[in-house]
Parts: sequence; structure tokens; C-alpha cells
Amino acid sequence: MNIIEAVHIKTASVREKADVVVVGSGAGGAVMAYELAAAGKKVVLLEAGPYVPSTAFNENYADMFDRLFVDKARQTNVDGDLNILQGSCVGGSTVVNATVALRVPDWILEQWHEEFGVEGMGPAELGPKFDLVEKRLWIHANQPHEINQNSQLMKRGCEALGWSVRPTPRNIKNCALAGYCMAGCRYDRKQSMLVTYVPWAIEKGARVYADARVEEIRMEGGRATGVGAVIRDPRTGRMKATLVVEADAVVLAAGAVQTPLLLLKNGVANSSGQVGLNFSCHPSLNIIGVFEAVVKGWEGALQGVLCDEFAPDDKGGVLFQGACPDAFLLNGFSVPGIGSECVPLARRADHMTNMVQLNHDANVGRVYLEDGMKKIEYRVSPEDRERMRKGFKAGARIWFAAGAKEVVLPTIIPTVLRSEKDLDLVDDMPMEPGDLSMLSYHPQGSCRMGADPAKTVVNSWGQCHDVPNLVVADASIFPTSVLVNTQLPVYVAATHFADLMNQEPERYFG
Amino acid sequence: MDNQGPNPLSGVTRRDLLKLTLGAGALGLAAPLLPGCGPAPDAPARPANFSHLSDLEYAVFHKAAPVVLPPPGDGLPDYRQVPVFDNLDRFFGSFPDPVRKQVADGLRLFEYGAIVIGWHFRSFTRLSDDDARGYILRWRTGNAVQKAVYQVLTRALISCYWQAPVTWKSVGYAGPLYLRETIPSLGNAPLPTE
Repeated sequence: MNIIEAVHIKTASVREKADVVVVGSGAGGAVMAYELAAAGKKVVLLEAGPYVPSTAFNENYADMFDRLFVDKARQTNVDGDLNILQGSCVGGSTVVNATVALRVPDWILEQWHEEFGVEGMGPAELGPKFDLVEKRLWIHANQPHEINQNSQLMKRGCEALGWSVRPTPRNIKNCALAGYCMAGCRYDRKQSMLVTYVPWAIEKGARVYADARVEEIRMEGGRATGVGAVIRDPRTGRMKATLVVEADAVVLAAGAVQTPLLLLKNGVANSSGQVGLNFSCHPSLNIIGVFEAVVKGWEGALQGVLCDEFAPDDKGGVLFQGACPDAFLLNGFSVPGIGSECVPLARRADHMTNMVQLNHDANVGRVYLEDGMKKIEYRVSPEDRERMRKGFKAGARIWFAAGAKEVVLPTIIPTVLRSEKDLDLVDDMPMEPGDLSMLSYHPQGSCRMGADPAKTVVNSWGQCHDVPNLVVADASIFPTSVLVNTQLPVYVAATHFADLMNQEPERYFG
Repeated sequence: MDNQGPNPLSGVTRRDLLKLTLGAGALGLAAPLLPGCGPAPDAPARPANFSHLSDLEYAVFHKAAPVVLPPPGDGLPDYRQVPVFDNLDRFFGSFPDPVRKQVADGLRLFEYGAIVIGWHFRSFTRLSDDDARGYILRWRTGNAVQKAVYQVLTRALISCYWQAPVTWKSVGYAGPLYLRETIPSLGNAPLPTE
């Protein structure tokens, strides 16, 4: 692929001129780059991470953490009890996500309109854009052969309880059933940005840089005039060159952690004081079932079915997704306890199933800089603790209804339930900071979108209220948690903003 | 609930971290001078080819390993036959600088905290195996900083154990699929035509 990497740079400084410079090549940036380039704009797309071709994906998570993830998958909140996973490579998090592609529920889009004054992003307006992206990325509900034993058991449990369960929609073409989605799809079956919108943007004339971390948003007279970046050799970390891109418009799509940090570092677009606030992250919790029979939950497609019985906020605001990682992730990170405490469980990893409990959390977190260093503050709100407890009980009931002999909850002190009679234990489970083992695959909300410039960072056109030619097109704009996995919502938001930029150029380019 | 200003918990968090840094610094400076409070004299030497773990960190992990990892004879591979410490050294080399410093502070606090936490009057690496186990478990129910250090200490060891392919067979995991099956790549998707 025609990507400019540090290894290709021969001079100490590089300059580019473009109509639009896009920062970040993940779900938001790749879509913006393609849509704008396809409309005839001269586009430069910058990615801080390296270009890693899929032939290098070796299905070994320990290796891929180092090569494909932000901070080598060691990014955490300040308390250290929330591991925030984001991709850092060409294609961004879409390279390392689990392929779940769900639409934002209508009630959430309506809430954005009613509570935050968001215009033009209701279910009717975005519906055709969801249709378009779903077609392009082969998004379809899993076929029977894509529902592995792990998800078959989850489906059985849900059906026994009479709870809504359905095949998970995924952006995948002829799934190879390898199960290593989160380590990158070696077979290019996952329709990530690496194999779709990024090469499409290049085909339409976009220039794409890897290893280029943007440090500066260049401003003049209240407008953005481009960006300044540093190109580093990804193997040594040494600076290779500086890169300046002059542009008529700047699109930030670096994700809900890096985008606000870039704005804060440059003191841009923050007259509201809201940049970096309202961070939410869908804290995700693994609920493990242990069965009498061998399951090998890691064999087959990673994501099989989902239970949306409790998805509406008034029913709990949690989603359950059947997904069992390999033995390294399962025993290395999910099975609680130490020494002889965890051995009886760890020894039966091939008898285990797993579901991920996704929580529609409150926007209580904050992303900021302290002494120039990134900080992510996030503690589960009291309301969300109760949401989680209810979720644990429901998840455990699913596994017991499927025939599990034990259910293991994601607590630091091992919590093993042996029957439904033990569900009351959940009420007394400690849930102070550090008591749970939480993951976040979906950071969002840190540059909130809305009509009021005093309370939000960007408007309904994706423009920063303070800087009309500075657009944010990633999950940081979501006014509330979207409940579902963020990739499809971001693809569609970016498609929408790119359409607006193409249809109303005077609004953006002045 | 929305966050319309600085999180009220942020002060607590920063104070916790400040305490951690100051505590680690003060204990790290003073404790080794007290009788019985320096690192254990019989602690194994860090292998010469290790480049990321410090001597103290290696000693702490070495002491914690028999408590944290599967005991020999429990049906899983003996950790002494698994390259846990090689993996740990590489793992520590992968931390971003600020995180690496926090981890170092946390482990130093853990080592010397044993002097006053539980009043052992000696550092962690000098504790008996039973006391070492009790001390580790005490951190899991401590304050937020202690729980974070407990997680780093135990998850680093456990994940570095399970990272080794030699452990996979014991739980029926065959490892990467591409090493066993040839599955063609589909390459880049064609440009949309609509």
C-alpha cells in the first residue's frame, strides 16, 4: 500500500499543502479522508502509529499488544483498575476491535436531539448512512456457522430464560473463524479501515503518512491553518523529521483520548472549558461460565450472539456479548485470584465460556494533561455500580440456565457463584476503586457535541464552536454513551460530517 | 450524571499518587539502612542478560512467584520450567516512561511497605513464605493504590506465565491457527461502486 512511513523520509523537515488534513486513520479519520478525497478534495491523512501489514499479524496477543495498541495495551485510568484499549496503527482501533457493528439505538439519537440540541442526526437522517456503510463493510448478522460453542451456550441460556438474544452483526467478509479479531485479522476478512477506507482514500489521491504524531494545531485569526507533526522511527522512537501540513480545514479523528489532549495542549476550542470532560468508556466486564463438558470457547468466530434484553436504559442499560478469548487472555487476565486460589479454574480454561457485559455508563470521566503527561480519570458512578450488579446477576443467570456449574465474576478477590442461590452474594460484592477488573474498548464523549457553545465543544456539523474549520470526527463527540460498540456509530458520524463538508463548503472553508 | 467540572475525586487520586511517590521515595531511601529492612541477602541475582527489571524488582517478583503462580504438582506446568522472568523483563521494557516510573515506585513501596504494613519490621523479600502470602493478600484489600500495586504485581506474573506457549497445551489450547492451517488472505476490498 502506498503509505509514507518514517523509513521513507530522507529530509529533516517535510511540508505538505492540502484542502483538508485529517488526524487519525481509524473509524472517523479513514472515512473522512475517503469521502473528502472522493469528492475531489486534496487530502493528507496522518496516523501516529505504524503501518503494520496484516501479514505481520501473528495471532499472538502479547506480540500484537506491543505493535498495534496505544501504549502497547498498557493504557489505564489513574486508579489502574480500567485498561483502556485503543489501536495505534494505520486503521486505528478498527484493526484490533472485535468486529461488532451495531447501530446507535434510536432512543439515544432522540435523546441527543432533546437534551443537547443535536440537529440532523436523528434516526431518519442517519438511517440511509447506516445502510451505506453496512453495505460497504459487509456488515451482516452472523450466520449459523459463525456462532461458536461459546455463543451457542449463551444463546441456549437466554432462550431458556425467555430473553432476547440474536446473532451479532459484524463487519466481516467470509469469516475465517480464527477467533483472533483483537490481534488483527491476518486473513483480511475483517473489513477494517486498513483494508477498506484507507486504501480507498489512497486510490482517490489522499496522501497517507504513518509514524506521524500531530503535536500542533496551527492557528491564525481564529481559524486553523494546518497541523505540525513529528515523524518518529517506530523501532527506536527517534525523531526522523518534522512535518507541517498547511490546510484549509483540519479534521481531528485521533480518538476520545488523543483528540481532547491535542486540543488542550494547544489551548484551542475550549472556551466552554468542556474539552476532556464528560468522558465515558462502556466499562466492560467479563462474566465466565464453567461447564462440565469441554467447550474451547476460543475456537471459531470471536463474537457470536448478543443479548439485548436489558439494553434499554429503563431495563438496565447493559448489553451482553458472547466472546471468549484465547487461553492466554482468559487465564492471564480474566481468571481472578493467585496461586492455589486460581488453579482449579485456570486448569479448566477449555471448559470456560465468556460473555462481555457492556455498560451504558454515565459521562463522569476526564481526560487531561498533568505536567505534560496524559491522565485519564474515571471512577464508576454509584448509579453504574448498581447497573453492574444487576448485570452480573443477569449474566450469571444466563450461564446457569445454559448448564454452567460455576460462574466467575470479574472481581479482584475471586467471586465464584455455584448456583442461582449464590446470586445474593453480588449485593455485597465490594465495588470500590480497584475491586473490579475492567476493560474499555469504547472511550468516548470527551469533546461533547451539542447546540450550546457554553456546554459543548462541537456543533451538529462537527465543527468546534470556537473554530469553524476545525472538525472533530471520532467518538469524543458523542454527547452520551452510545451503549453499543462505537465503530459503526463513528463510521456513520464521519460519513455525515464529510457529506456536510462536501455539500456546504462555505460553512467549513469560509 | 454529567461531569461539568473537575472531578471531585481527582484530588483524592492525586493525593493517593503523591502519597505513593513520597512513600516509595522515603521508604526506598531510609528502609535499606535499617537492620533487617534491606533487600534479602539471599535474593537471587538478576540474570545478566536482563535489561529492564531492576535488581529490586527482580527480587520482589522472585519472592512473589511461588505465592502467585500455580504451585508445582497442581496439574499445570511448574513455573520454574516456564520463561516467566524472561517474559517479565521484556514486559517491563514495553512500558511507556511515565507508567514505568509509577510501576517502579509502586514495587518499591510494596517491598519496603512490609516494614510497617502488618508490622513485619522487615522488607517483603525477607518475609517467610506464609507471611509473604498474607502480605500480598493484605494489599488486595487495601486502599486504591495498594490494590493497583497488587494488580500490577500479580497480573504481570500470571500473564507472563500464560504467555508462554508451553503452558497452553495443559489447558487444551493449540495456539495460533495460521501455524496449523493455510487460510488465504482476501486483501484489500475493492473500491465502492455505488
